[in-house]
Amino acid sequence: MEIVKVENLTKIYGKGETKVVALDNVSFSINKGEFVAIIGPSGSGKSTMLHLLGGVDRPTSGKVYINGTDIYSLSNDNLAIFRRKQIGLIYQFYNLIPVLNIEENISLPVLLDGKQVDKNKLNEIITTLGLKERVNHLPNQLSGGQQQRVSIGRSLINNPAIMLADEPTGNLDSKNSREIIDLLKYSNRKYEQTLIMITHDPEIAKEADRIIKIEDGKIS
Amino acid sequence: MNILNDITKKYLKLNRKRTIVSIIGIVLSGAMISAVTTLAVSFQGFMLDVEESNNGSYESIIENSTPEIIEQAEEQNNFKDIIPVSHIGMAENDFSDENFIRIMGVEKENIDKVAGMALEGRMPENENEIVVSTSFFNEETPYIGDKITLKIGKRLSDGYELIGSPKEENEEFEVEETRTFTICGIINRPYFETYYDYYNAAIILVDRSEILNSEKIDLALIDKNSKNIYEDSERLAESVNVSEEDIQYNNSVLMYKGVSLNSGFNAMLYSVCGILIVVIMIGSILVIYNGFAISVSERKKQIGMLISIGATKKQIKKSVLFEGVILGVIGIPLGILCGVLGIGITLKIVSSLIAPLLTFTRKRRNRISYFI
Ligand SMILES: Nc1ncnc2c1ncn2[C@@H]1O[C@H](COP(=O)(O)OP(=O)(O)OP(=O)(O)O)[C@@H](O)[C@H]1O
Ligand SMILES: [Mg+2]
Repeated sequence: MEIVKVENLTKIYGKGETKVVALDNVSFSINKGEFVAIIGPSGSGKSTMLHLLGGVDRPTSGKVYINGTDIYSLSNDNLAIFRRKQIGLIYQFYNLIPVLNIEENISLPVLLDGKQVDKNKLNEIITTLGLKERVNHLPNQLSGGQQQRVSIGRSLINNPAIMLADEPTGNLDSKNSREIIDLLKYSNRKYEQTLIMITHDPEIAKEADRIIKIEDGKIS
Repeated sequence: MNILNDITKKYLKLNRKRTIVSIIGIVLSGAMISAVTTLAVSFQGFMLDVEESNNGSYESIIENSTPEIIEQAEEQNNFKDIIPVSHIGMAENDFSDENFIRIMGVEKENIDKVAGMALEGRMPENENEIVVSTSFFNEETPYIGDKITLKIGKRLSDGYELIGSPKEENEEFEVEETRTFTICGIINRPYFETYYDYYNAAIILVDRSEILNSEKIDLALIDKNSKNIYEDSERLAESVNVSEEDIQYNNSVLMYKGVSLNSGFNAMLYSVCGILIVVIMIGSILVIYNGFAISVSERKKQIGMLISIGATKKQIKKSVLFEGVILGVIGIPLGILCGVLGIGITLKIVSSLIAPLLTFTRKRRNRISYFI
């Protein structure tokens, strides 16, 4: 079943002389539960692509359908709500809120909805991620691998249909990288989540069901 | 507690130094703005005070009426002060060939409202004292402390009563009473003496019953709402069949009250204040922004994070606003307090420095009371 469908997606930054075509008329689709690795040289448009899939930015032209919804036909606010319910985003640099403790950081997407956090779900995630001893710590009191696990926890709390990960292991040593990838693959399988991951590591890419290669804003 | 507001508060606490710098910026700007405003207001008040001691604090006067106007004015209930001034009579002036003396009577507590303060000497304190317009005095005339005997009565010509017109060939003077007064002070030309009147003005004290029995009175008015003084005076004059031309307005007082139609002074004061406030605001925005700029770029990063987690624009806007509100709620009252206190202290020092000067040039100590 198709969960992501991308049609003629183009993203152009800037105008005139400084114009950059980051994505050039890209089309593809991804099935539910698939693990897709996106690879390509630096500056080829991988992050741009991921942001457009996640509704973080708007495209210059083209369409993105998630579960059949044309997400860029939504208003900004509805897009934001869609994003926090359907999409989990993980970055290379964790993007944790430094003033919130681990538990609060993981709960944030739910709290932004003005809802109560499901304690069982929270505990399950915290246990799975091995962060039980650290719930009241602030992010800067954790190691890089631990911080990345917190950000995975945060992206899992709302049970998103799609996990988007932008070089989640780019900042970690090989042991920590292994753990993070295993965690992501685990939730990919367990919750039937679609996992789309940018990586520079060919070994990791090999583990994916499919590899999408981007070069100069085009799929090659 | 909203999670975003919670985050904002925690950030403010975490970056305590920057928060304090921002608050200090707001305090400074608030202080300067309130200082400018206070200064302008007390300057305006000072000028009003000067005018009121020169000419009296009345806003309008309806002349040539009768005591029934008092009841009418009370009935119309628009006025804070209703001050009757009775026409006592004319008197022959032994020190001038062409001028008479015109004597008006006011109740003691009202005399400063229609005549301001004495230029020299003081205002009368009993019915045997008299203040006389500056226009009366020359080398030969009696001076403060001297006695003056006046034959008070009417100027009559062919049965008509004359008041301000030049002496006529065939006019007669009908003496009604002769009284002796002590000159206790010199006043500016009061409202009832104009440059083309053939008399010098004098004011004595009378009591209410005398006023109610007099044939002719003027009625000085201070409106409950100064802005309405024009229409309220006109309505009152109309109701007792007094012509509009008999209404005089205390234009300079109305000007400093910000009521007068041609209030160039206020326009100037307000625009100077406006410009100063704009300059202060631009200055302080630059200062605050400097402390803020770092936090802005940091904030942008945080906002980016929050957006990627799914915060809506509305939520982000609210949290930025919340930060402003917190800083403002602390900074603005503190700023206003500092400004008012600061300028208060400054004015106190300044006025104690210029007080002797003012007292020396014009004997009106309480002119500067506004500053103290
Ligand atoms: N906000 C932006 N404004 C202008 N140009 C941008 C912006 N973001 C990205 N670009 C440009 O778009 C192109 C693609 O950028 P993108 O971040 O998608 O590359 P990437 O494939 O993720 O690279 P990397 O592997 O280094 O992360 C680059 O040339 C980049 O300079
Ligand atoms: Mg990238």
